[in-house]
Amino acid sequence: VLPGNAVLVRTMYTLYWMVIAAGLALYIVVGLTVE
Amino acid sequence: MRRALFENGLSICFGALFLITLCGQSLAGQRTHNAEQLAHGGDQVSWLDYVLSPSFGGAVMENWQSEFLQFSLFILATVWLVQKGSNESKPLDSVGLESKQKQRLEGFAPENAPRWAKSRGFARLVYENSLLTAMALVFFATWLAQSLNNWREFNAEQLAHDGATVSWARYLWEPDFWERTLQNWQSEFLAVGTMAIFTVYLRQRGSAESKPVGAPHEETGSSG
Repeated sequence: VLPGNAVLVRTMYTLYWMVIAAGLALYIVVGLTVE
Repeated sequence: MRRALFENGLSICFGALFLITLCGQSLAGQRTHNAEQLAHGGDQVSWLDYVLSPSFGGAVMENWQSEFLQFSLFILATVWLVQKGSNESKPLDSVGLESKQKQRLEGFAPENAPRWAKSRGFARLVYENSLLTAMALVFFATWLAQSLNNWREFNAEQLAHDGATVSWARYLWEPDFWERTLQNWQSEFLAVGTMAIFTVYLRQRGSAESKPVGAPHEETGSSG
């Protein structure tokens, strides 16, 4: 496996976690604050 | 670069589809919301205001939680439950956590195994359950987020109709919360059960989700 290819796999893994965490954080804040 | 894209086709394709459909949902949702506002003499909201509203937040989170519940239960159930002939099932004689040799743990771990698979302590216990743990944590967090957003929306509607507002804890007992929750769960369970039993008799040539076309119906888990 070339190093460059493994990097994109790790990047996609990180991106998915970031999207999930961002969505969760946003809507927990919205749910806690918006009247 | 082309090779790298090819090797990540599934995550890139579904990530892009997710972003496109989420944008579509927000645009369609804003229009619906504004049409209702117009009919009831309320204020129009911008796209950004709608995206940051409990109405959109609740709609997104209730679908997220049900998907993560689906996969959490599927991961857990397929350790202990089997379906004869299904591509979604392990072979019938592999029920349970399986041997260290079969799971390539400790001394059976190959040179390039994940570091924690080679360990013997708490780290390995965490790692050998990490997929279920991650999916279940996201499920509970998104379910919490859904409840908070649905609660805000519920109270806003109560106020608009001169009804009494309720606390978050009280809202968790409201039929409104359970209707929104269960309408998502039922569809996930039907889809999982359908996949478990349909893959016994039906095929898709070339798909990892199907047995090979020529595999006999009684063959269990031949590509899973």
